[in-house]
Amino acid sequence: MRYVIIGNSYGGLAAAEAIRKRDGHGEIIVLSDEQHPAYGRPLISYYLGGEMSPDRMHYRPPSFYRNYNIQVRLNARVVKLLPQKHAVQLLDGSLLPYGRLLIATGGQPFVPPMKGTGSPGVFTFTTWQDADDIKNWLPRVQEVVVIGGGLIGLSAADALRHRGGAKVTVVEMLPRVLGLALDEDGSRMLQDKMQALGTKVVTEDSVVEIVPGATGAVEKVVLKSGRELPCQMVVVAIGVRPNVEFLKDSGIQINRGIAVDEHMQTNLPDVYGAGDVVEAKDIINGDNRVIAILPVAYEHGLVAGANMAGDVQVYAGNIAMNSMPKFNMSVMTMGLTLDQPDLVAVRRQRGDQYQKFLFQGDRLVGAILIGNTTAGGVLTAIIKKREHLTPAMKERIVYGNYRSLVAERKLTWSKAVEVAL
Amino acid sequence: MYPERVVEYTRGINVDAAKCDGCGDCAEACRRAVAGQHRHTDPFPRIWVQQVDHKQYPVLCHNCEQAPCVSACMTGCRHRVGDFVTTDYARCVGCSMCVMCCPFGAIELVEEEHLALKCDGCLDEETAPCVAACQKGALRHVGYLQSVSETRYAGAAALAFSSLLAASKKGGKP
Ligand SMILES: Cc1cc2nc3c(=O)[nH]c(=O)nc-3n(C[C@H](O)[C@H](O)[C@H](O)COP(=O)(O)OP(=O)(O)OC[C@H]3O[C@@H](n4cnc5c(N)ncnc54)[C@H](O)[C@@H]3O)c2cc1C
Ligand code: SF4
Ligand code: SF4
Repeated sequence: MRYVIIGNSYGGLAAAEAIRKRDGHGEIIVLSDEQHPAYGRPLISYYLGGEMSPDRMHYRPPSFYRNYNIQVRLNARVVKLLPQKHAVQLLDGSLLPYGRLLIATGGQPFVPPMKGTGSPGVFTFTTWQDADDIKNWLPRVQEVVVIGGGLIGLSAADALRHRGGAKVTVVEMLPRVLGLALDEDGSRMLQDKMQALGTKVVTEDSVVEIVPGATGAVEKVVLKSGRELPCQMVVVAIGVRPNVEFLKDSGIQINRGIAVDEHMQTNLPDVYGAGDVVEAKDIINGDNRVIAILPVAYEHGLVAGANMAGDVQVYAGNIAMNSMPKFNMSVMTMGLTLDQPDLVAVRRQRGDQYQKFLFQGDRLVGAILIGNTTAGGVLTAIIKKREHLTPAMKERIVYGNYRSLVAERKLTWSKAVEVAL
Repeated sequence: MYPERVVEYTRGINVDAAKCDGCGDCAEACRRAVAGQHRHTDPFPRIWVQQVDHKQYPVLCHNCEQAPCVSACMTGCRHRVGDFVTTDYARCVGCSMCVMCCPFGAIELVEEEHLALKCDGCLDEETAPCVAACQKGALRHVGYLQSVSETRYAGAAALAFSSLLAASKKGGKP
C-alpha cells in the first residue's frame, strides 16, 4: 500500500505516525510545498521575536523520519487531485499515484481585495519563510501596522515587540482584540497590557488602502475612519482560509473546509482529510466546522491515519480553545466564552487575574482563564466529556478547586480519556 | 469502552490513595530529582499530595496512552519515549498548550523559566525516586492493566472472604 500525505505538519505527521504504528511495511510519502522540514508553525512568532534559534524549530528530529521509514519531499507542491487516476499531480507535471491519500494542507492567509497589497513591505505571517522575509525587511522599518487583532496578528505584534526597534500598531475591525475568543473584560485587560508594553491598538476600524511611496514600498495605510498611519511594513493577519484551491474540479465536497465523515474520510474513495483544512465535529454544538488549532489537527491526523491503515476509528470531536501567553500575560480560552442568553456566566476578577466559567444547565460549556491558568486542562476535559456536574462540583470549579475533582476521581473520565483517541 | 489494544506501560506510577498518609516523602524526593530543570526558580515537585476533606491524594502525570499533552505540544518536545511521556525541555517554550489539554492537571507552567514541567518518569533510575521514597506502599510502578486486575482481584477476595465469614457464622461450609 502506498500512503500519500499532502502536508508536512501536525495533521500530516500525526497520520504518518498512526499509519506506521499499524502498518510496518506500507510506503509513506509526505509532501510539502515548503522548503523547511516540519517545524512548529506557531514557533515562527518565537523565532521572529529572537526567542528561538533555527536549530530548535524542528517539530520532529531528523531521526524520526528514518525510524518511521517516512519519505518526505520538500518543495513538492500538489497542483491537482485526480481521483479517477488515484493520483495527485505535482507542480513539475509529474503524477504520483496513491493507494490512500490524506489532505492536510492547512490554511492559507486571507488577504482582502484592496489597493496596495502587492507593494514591497506587505507580508502575511503563517510560514517560516514569512518570518524570514519580515526579518529581512525590518532594518528599514520604524513603524509597523498589523492588520487583525486575532491570534496570528497578536503573535506577530508580540514578536515584533520582543525584537524591539519598531513601533507596532494593531488595527482590529471588531470592538476588541481576540474578539472571537475573549469577552469584553478579558479583552480589556489584554489590551491595557499591550498598550502598557508599547503596542498601540486601534479597534472598530479597518485598513482600506495600503499606500506605496516613491520607491514603490509601503509608506502608509488609510483607515476606514479616514485616519492615516505611516508605516514601512504591513502584516496582514485577518484570518486563515482552508487551503483547498488545488482541489477544485476534483469532485471533492467542500463547504468552508473539506467535508469529512466521522472517520475523517472525504466523499472520494481512499481520500481522507485532517487539520485546518477540514470541517469536523465540534462537541459543543454537534456541528461540523473548521477549528484551526494544532491539537485538533493532530487528533484528526491520528484518526485519519488509523482509518487509512484499516483500523476503524471514530473521531470524537473537539472544542475551540487556545492558550496564548503573549504580552507577558497568560490567557486561556476553551469552548464558549461569550455571554449567551441560555448560559449562566460566573466571573471572578482579582487584580490581573480573571476567570470566567460558563454553564449550560448542569454542564460546563466554556471558560476563560487569565493570569492563573493552572490545571486548565481539567476544565477542557470537563467541557469535552460533557460531564454532568452536581452543585458541589460546580462550586469547586468556580472557586478554582477543579484539580481536587481529578484527585478524588469524581469525574467519570479518569482512565477513559487516556485511551480514547 | 476501551480499544482492544491497550499497551501496558509498566513504568507508569500507580497511586493507591487509601495508603497515603500525606507525609510528603515522595514530593521531597521528587524535588531533589528535578532540581536541575530549574535555572531561575526554586525547584518544586512534580508530584504533590492534594488534600480533599481530610483525605490525601497523591497527584501526578498518568502517563496517558494517547496523551493529550503530546497532541497539543506545538514544539513536539513532549512525546512518548518508550514507556513514558517525556519532555525535551531544551525545546519547550512554555506556550501552555499542553497545560490546556492535560485532563489531570499534571503539568505546571513556570513563567520565569518559560517551561511547562511535569513528571517525566525518571527513566534513568531503576525505580523512580518518589516510588522508592514512599514507605506506605501508596506508589508503585505497575501498568494500568495490572492495576485494574489487582483491584478486581482484591475486590473478589474481599467478597469471597466475607461470604466465607458469613458461611462460618452459620456453621456451614462455604
Ligand atoms: C503565527 C501563528 C500562531 C499560531 N498559534 C497557535 C497556537 O498558539 N495554538 C494553536 O493551537 N494553533 C496555533 N496556530 C495554528 C496552528 O499553527 C495550525 O492550527 C496548525 O499548524 C494546523 O496544522 P495542519 O497540519 O492542519 O496544517 P499546517 O500547519 O498549515 O501545514 C500545512 C502543510 O501543508 C503543506 N501544503 C499546503 N498546500 C500544499 C500543496 N498544494 N502541496 C504540497 N504541500 C502543501 C504546507 O507546506 C504545510 O506543510 C498558529 C498559527 C500561526 C500561523
Ligand atoms: S501530562 Fe497529562 S496528558 Fe500528558 S501524559 Fe501526563 S496525565 Fe496524560
Ligand atoms: S508548554 Fe512546552 S511542552 Fe507544553 S505544549 Fe508548549 S512547548 Fe510543548
